[in-house]
Amino acid sequence: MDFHSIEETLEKLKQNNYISSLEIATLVFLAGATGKPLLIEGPAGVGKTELAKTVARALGRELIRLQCYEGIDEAKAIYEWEYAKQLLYTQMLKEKIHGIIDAEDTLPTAVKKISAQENAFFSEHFIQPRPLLKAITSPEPVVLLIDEVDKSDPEFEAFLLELLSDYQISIPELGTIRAKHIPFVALTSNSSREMSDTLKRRCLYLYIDNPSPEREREIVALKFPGIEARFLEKIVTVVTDIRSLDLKKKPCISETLDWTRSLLALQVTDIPLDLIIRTLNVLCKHRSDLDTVKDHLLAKEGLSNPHHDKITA
Amino acid sequence: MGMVTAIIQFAQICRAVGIPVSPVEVIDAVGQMECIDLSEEKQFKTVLKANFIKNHYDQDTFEGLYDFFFHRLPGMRRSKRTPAAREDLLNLIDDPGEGSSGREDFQALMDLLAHDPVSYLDLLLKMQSAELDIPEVDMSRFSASGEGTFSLASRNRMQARLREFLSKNFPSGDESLRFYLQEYLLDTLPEGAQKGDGDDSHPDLPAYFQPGVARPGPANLGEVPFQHLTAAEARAVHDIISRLAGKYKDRIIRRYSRSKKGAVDIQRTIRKSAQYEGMPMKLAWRRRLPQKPKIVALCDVSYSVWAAVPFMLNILYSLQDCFRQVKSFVFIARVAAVSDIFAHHETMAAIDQVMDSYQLQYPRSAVYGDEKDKYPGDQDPEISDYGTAFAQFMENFSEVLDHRTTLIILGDGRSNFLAPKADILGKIREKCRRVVWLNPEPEPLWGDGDSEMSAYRPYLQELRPCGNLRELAAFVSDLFSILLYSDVHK
Repeated sequence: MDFHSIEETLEKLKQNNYISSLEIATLVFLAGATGKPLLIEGPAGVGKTELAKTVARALGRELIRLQCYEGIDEAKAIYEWEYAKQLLYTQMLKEKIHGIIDAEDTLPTAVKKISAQENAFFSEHFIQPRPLLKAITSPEPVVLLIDEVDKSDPEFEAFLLELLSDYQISIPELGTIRAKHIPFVALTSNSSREMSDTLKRRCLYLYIDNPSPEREREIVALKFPGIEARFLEKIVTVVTDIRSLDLKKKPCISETLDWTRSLLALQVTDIPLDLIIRTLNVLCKHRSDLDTVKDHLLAKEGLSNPHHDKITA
Repeated sequence: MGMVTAIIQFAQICRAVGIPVSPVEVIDAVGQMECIDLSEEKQFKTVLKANFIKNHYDQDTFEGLYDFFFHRLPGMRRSKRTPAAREDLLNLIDDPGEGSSGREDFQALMDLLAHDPVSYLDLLLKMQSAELDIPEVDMSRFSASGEGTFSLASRNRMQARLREFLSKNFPSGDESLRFYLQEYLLDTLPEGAQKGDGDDSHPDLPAYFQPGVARPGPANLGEVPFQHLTAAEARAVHDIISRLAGKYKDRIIRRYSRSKKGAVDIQRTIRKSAQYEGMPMKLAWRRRLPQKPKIVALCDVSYSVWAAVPFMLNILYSLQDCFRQVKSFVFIARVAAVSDIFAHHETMAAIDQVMDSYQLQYPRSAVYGDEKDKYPGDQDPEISDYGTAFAQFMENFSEVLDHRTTLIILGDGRSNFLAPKADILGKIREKCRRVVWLNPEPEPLWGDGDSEMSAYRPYLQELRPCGNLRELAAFVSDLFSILLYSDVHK
């Protein structure tokens, strides 16, 4: 199944609980239509990974996820030979191997005989496919999510290039394996490292920023159906206000959702200042940010923070 | 004008302002236009953006350029780009007050100019050459020697207009602007300029701006001493520094990941060999945690050195992932810790704030550039005093030093004939792993006059010049060999 138009994409994403902007829908549609990978960047928690998951749900495809980390290599991402299995088979087939070379008198001819059988041991049977190879060889089209690609090493990017431009993988012993179906590829990055231009060139680039208050309202309302309008309004106003400060890590949409969840769990109907401050840890994850926000909120109320001196000193 | 031509020209403009748009990306964008509804401008814009902009910090630039190119540029509004449209553009420069929308367009140009004159002039240049190079339907009507190229008269007219425009709007002789203007004139209109003027010299140009002579353009940026950089060039250097830092970061991280492997771990190897009939098929290695060095930077921010400080801090903080910790201090005579500012702000903003909050006589322009250079002179009550600074550093901050710390001092060692107190530097030296000194002065001047370099030298593992980008880059490139491998003589 594929998307057929931008409007349909927008609608399908929404049906699957993802409120997207027209820009996001356009790019998701284009990525599907042109078979180009989609490189999604943005601050943590704006729904980059979620977008890929939603696309998989909307298209009814399997999601294959590759979580990148420092030091990830081919063996973890593409494929690995199953040495243990190969050894096991050699053991089990000892008799058979003897049978093959028994008739030979000299070593060279025996080697020749054996090497003719080599293919039996370097075949797809002994390959342990990892996410990338899985995505390519899958009989059904899939969604491939390469998560936090910026955490991987620059060498790993080079492996990705072949995959992303031609949808093929070269295995020296087997040759080139081409994709049966071109997967929908989404790469996410927190820009902790700048991706190489060659990788970027092959991708459609989508930057997802923190949502506008209107969109945030929509998203919260979607995730918490039945939430009271005034309560929702207050939540979004507070978060938008906090986001406008100069923080190390601004609260993102997933933190807004967490906060809403906490507030609902506390069964409150209004959000007074002291409650905001008490639950601030859900929104701000840095000590210095907590202080900044507290100062800001208290200053707005015309109060001053007793700890204030400590910060300016 | 065809859409394809417009996209190609837009790509060229993007390149002119420094956004790298590759031909593949242009082809992709054009190809994807088939998939969308072209009557919806938003979709058109999204496709261009997704293909051309691959860095989120270029997004604002893109918005501005897009608006300028597709909405405000006179030629685009009439959906054609002809010599007449070019004429319009020139008229716009010539007489901003006229015409119904002239004011607005002029404002757009002025905004661009105020923001970055270089890119605007570059843009003009690229637009010009784009028109001449790209065959387009409208252009084919004109013969090559006709209006499709500039006539001699129009070249001279244009040259005169630009000169007038610039002298009217930028009366103060801004060097970088003039430089780019001249470059524009010389490159775009070579024949006209030469034939029109009768000889190939330009009276108001310094000798090295003449054609054929190597000019201190972007290619030579590495050699320009930091204190001689114009605001635009300083920005360019910062840009280069962040690119450099990215490159080194990759390299350094790779080095760390290689050095992660320690000796063979016998126990684990034996355990692993169990699945291969006791054959040690796979070796297990002891994991070794990389010993990331700690860095303490101590920067002289007095007038004689300030130009180099932001660049040094920029590169250190851009690389801070590669260190266990970066702490920084600035001094003239009194030492102040500034690490906190860096912990709370983005690097460039922090550098700005350091200079601001300590009210050092340091023009903001050297960081971001508003062109208003101030000269401190007698406003500056503090003169640099290395001896006192070292003593104070030792007394108040010596706890930041330990056996894994590398102290990087940035300064010219000119202590205004006050006591150098080199023995204190010796004590500092004993508390840390090594002391590296970066001196922005050219090497022959070290030890000359009030420079105390010769007194300090015995206590330094490394003493390097760091007066321009090339020297700074060379230092950083060696930094990790210094940090990881240089011997400790104690």
